[in-house]
Amino acid sequence: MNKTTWVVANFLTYVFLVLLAVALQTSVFPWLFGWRANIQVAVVLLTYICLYREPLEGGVFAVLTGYFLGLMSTMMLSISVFSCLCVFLALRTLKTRVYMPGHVYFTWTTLGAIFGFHFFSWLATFFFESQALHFGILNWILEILLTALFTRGLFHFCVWIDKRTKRLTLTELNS
Amino acid sequence: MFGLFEVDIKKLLLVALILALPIISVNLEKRDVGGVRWYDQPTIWLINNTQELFSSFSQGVAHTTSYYLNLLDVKKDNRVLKEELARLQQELTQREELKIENDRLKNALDFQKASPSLLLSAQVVGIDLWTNSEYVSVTINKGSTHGIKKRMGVVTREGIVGYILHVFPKYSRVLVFSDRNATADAIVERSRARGIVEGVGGDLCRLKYLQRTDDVQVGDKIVTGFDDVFPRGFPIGIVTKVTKKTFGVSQNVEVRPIVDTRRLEEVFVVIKPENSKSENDKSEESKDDA
Repeated sequence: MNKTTWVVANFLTYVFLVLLAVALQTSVFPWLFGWRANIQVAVVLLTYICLYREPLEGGVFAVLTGYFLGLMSTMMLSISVFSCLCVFLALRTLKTRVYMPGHVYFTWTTLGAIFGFHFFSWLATFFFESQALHFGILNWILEILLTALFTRGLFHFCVWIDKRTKRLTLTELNS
Repeated sequence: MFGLFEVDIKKLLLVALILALPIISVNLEKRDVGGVRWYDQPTIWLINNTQELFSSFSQGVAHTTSYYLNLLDVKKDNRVLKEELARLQQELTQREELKIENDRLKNALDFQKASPSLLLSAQVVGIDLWTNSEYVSVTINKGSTHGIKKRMGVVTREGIVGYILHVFPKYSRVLVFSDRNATADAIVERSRARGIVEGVGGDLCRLKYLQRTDDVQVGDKIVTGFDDVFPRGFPIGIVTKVTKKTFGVSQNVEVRPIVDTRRLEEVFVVIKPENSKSENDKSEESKDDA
């Protein structure tokens, strides 16, 4: 396979993984981890693509993730896509100013991205809906803490996928 | 002559004594002395203890040998028995689950038959992505191919769940009443005061547009009103809090939905609200039951 085919295969793999993550988050996780908080695997994957891919690819992936998340909720699709794009922009901006290779940086960035997603959703409802969402910061923090437990494992899983699909950018991922 | 009868008296007495001893001892043995004789006791004690000591030792050796000899068999038996036990426990759990499911399905079927509305049963297969938020929805395993359309009501035996928001060919998304975007016409069952139930997220709804003078109290049951989505008078929730502001024409009424979304497994989609089952529908229902 040539390079372009590998790139497409890698991208499609992540799209499939986001779909899988959304399906798990809406069916299995609530029964496993309770209803108070969910593990935001989809946002973890979004963060990975936003950080370690070209801006165009990251942007397209953010739109797709927002679309999938919106589909599985009564949240408006536009708000979901808007929030994901805001997260994407925030991550790209952060990367140009502060960057460290490795999973520690990734973990912190992911946790920030989850907070960012909730915050931008709240902001969008504040501006675009008649009534803003409840600013449930305690629930957000709980969700961040729960997701933090799995972030490192997910990071190494993504690196493994990149290796398998010949997409690894070693200079960035190696710590 | 005297020589012929010359007898050694001493020897004769000795022979007689030797012959007499067994006879005497046999005679003594035949007598019942009642219990163990005193002179037998020490000997018996000594012998018995020695016997016991050896017996214990030999039995110990025999058991140990036997244990080692049978060890492999015992291990094998143990493994087999454990597997058997696990299998039986699993079977028991499955049977209990089946019994519970059977009871639940029986209740659901009874409800479906008794209801004046035309209902379609469906199973909940997923929930909203944002748990514990103001977005509350569930996904059911019936869609447009089963005759489901947008805005159809969804109920359980206990009460109202919500209504169909999105319809896909084989799945539908149900907007639950506690979702921030859900509304429905409602009546306070006791006083017949009318209002609109609106979701506020989590496990709560709010009854809006009630007049300040309307009679509503904590514990009142809120039921469905006059719309063509739900069967009339079906439970929505229970009033948990009533607040009247100092000024204003309305009052704030908090309602806790009767149906707990987190425990939903089977629901019914209201195909036709009530008293409108046609003969065709009834025959289809009877086919389904069959």
